[in-house]
Amino acid sequence: MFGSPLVAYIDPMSGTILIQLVVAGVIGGIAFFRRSIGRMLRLACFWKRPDDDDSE
Amino acid sequence: MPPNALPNHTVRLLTNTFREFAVALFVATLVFTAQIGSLLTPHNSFRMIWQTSDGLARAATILLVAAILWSVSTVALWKQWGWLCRGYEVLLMLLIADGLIALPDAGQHTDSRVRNAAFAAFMASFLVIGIQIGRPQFWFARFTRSICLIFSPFPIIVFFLLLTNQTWGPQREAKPTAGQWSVADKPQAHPVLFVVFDGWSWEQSTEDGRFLPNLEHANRLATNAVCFQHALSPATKTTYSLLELMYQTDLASEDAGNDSPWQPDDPHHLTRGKRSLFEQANEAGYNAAFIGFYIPHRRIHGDILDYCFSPSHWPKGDSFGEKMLMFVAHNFQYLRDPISQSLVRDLEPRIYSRFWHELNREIESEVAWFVAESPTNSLLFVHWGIPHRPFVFNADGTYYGHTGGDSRGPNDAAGYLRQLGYVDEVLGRLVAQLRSEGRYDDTLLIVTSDHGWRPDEDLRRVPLIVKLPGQKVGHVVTQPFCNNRLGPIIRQAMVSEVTTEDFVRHIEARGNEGPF
Repeated sequence: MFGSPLVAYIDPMSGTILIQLVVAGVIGGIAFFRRSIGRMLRLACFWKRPDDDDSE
Repeated sequence: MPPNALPNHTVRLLTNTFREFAVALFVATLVFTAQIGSLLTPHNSFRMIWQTSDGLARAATILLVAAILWSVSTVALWKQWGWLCRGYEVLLMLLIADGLIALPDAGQHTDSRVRNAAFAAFMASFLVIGIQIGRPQFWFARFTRSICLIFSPFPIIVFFLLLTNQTWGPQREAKPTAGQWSVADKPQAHPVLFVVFDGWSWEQSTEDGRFLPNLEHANRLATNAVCFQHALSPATKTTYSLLELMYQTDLASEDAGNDSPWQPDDPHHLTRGKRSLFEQANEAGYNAAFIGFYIPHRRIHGDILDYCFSPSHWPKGDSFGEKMLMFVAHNFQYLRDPISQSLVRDLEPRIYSRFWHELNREIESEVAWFVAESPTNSLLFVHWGIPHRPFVFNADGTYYGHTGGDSRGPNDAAGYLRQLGYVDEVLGRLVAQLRSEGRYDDTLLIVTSDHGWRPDEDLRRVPLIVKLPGQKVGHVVTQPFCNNRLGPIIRQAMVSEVTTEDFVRHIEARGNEGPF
């Protein structure tokens, strides 16, 4: 009945929980580095302006 | 600053407190992640008969561990105890290393490469932690806390998974009162008792076609009933044969490549269109009941069962507190550090042995209750865990003690024989109760097994004793007969009379269908 001699049979872990760990890391990373990300985005927008002007 | 705003130092204090708790909660969750990842797979949730309280108990345990960790850090900061601050940092790093190293094989401990890699990872962790202890200003502790904060949404996701996981309960339910049973149409209905002992081997229990002398109750019953000397179970694994016994039919062979016929997403995929003994009992105006263990029979059979007692074969605790303790105790099985490993070796056999003893004693008292309280128009299917290992029973049903390592399995002939003694004792008590309730004569009693014991024997050779209603004289059947071919006789017993001659004719007719 049991897969193992003494302990009740139990399947190994699936990868789902590891995916949840990665998802949590991405969400937490965005929150943790929000200021740096904001600065980078602002910088990106600043760099974009001359291009926008050129296109006009 | 606005007049109602909190002072800066209070805001800082609250922020730091929140961060410390977020770090502690992540670390507490990570320590249990390997176990949670394993428990939440559909098959494991199904087998352990997951209930909402299981998820709540696990979430509460994680919160409790996080609260303990957070208390330590708060005391260390409040009292400004440097030694405790450093000790706490080391503890956090050890727990994180333990939790992470447990993830790759999630407690299976099978692959030696994984074991070696885990050992190497532990050595590396100890090196880094050693440097941190030697140089308190080393960046690694701060870096670890930042990583914990980054992953701090993880506990929320885990709690969500735990609380929304599919449930398969209940394991136990309220017993029907006298007025809740359906009443027999005819005054003299034959009670049907189908008893399956798990792993009862014919070869180990008999000598020259008779049960061993110490199995006196089995011998006595066999003498006055139809005793099969070449009975076969439909399969060599419980997962298949139990289903085939309950449906009294053949299913896809266990060699077909399926791990189990009990698929959580479709538990009826092999039995669709077939009628279980319980359905047939209902159609005959009988009460149908299951008493046993293993999988969520109430959810599988639904309202067809008038009573169901079906705990998991996974010791997960009954009360909320027990569930929390079991969650912690089982976790040592998943962690790879030396302390957890030594605890597992000692703790897990004790927990499982005790659980196995209590579960089977509980089945015994459930069966006794059913025999005493159910009306005569009742069919009971019993799946008893004995004599399957662990061999924890003395012959009188008392606790022998916990079994040790793997060597106490198929090689422990003495343990198996001792446990067979308890099977015989149970059989004797059951027959004695039937007699004292005045039911023995009218009952159709079937006693058999789902498979044998040792891999080196014919695992399908099992005992089969059938005591027909009104049977006074024994009969021996020597031809091969599979114990999932009894359906017609059970049906007939529920609607009319069955004589020994009818039954023998049925066996001979079925015997021609062989091989089974």
